[in-house]
Amino acid sequence: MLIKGFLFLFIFQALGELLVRWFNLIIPGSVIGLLLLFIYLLFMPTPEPLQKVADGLVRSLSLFFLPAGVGLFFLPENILSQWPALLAAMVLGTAVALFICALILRWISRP
Amino acid sequence: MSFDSAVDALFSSPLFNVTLTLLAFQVGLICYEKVGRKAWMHPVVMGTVIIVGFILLTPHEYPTYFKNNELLLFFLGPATVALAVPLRNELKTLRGIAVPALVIIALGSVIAPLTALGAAWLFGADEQVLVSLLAKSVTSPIAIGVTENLGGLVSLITAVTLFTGIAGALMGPTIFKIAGLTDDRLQGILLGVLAHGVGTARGFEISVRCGALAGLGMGLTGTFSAFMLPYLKIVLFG
Repeated sequence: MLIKGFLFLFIFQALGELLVRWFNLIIPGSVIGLLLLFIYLLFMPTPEPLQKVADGLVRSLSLFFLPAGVGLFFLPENILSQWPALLAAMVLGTAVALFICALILRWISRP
Repeated sequence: MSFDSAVDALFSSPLFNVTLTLLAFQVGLICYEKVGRKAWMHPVVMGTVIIVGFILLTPHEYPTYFKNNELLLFFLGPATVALAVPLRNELKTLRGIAVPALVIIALGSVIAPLTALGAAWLFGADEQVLVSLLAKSVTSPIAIGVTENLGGLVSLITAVTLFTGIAGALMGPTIFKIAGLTDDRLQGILLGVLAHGVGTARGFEISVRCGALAGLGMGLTGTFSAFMLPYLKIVLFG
């Protein structure tokens, strides 16, 4: 069950990696794999093992980037010293983007 | 072999380092459930604190820790592909709002990096940091792949996307009120576009369809951004 589900993901990712290298794309192969699997699922019912494995992976997505996230505290000094800019991007940048997008949405979806 | 060298050998094994990550994440998950799934207590926040604490308090070093966690990083790829499944399942919730949703996914994917870079630039960020901020609103597995390809700092983008998600999830509902955006379906899309996974979790607290649409917004934004950000980088940085 588990192996069947992962096999689906690995094969679609491998196809994506192949296309990325073949056409010299600057997109991650996994994103192409995502698109290919999405298109496949538009025409085929989702196999049970794939559904199970995908549910599990998507639910624990954050586990897989935890090791890289820890790196925030071990950045080179010249990056760490720019923390006000990083904070501004994350808080101010996100707030402004939310506000602008909310206004645009209201405007384009009015009756 | 002395006890010290036995510990050294263990510290530099994938088994020990992956276990450390799993354990820290598990504790993070328990704390997250304890406080009622609040965005500021995301499992990664507590998990990071535990691992950073361990590295600082013991002779263990970050490069050794990171290198021996390659097994987990490998799963970022299949996990990205797996996003296709919820994307497919949630497609039907788009009915009736498809046009505004797709428009805001395309616009939001450009507005998010522009406002982030603008804010960081005002506070004097250098070019390497600015490039590393391009993918800040994109779901982490995709953001990591994109940032790697663009020549940004992977350790920076991981943390930045996470805290962007937390900030967006916390501020979202208040900003929707100020802007007068009342449709919970459109709120959901926006949470997914600008606050990815954390925003999606927040969306499910508002309503099921809000959460489902946030997941959809997250997936489509990630995919669209992977194609668009390389060009945005060329426009902004030549």
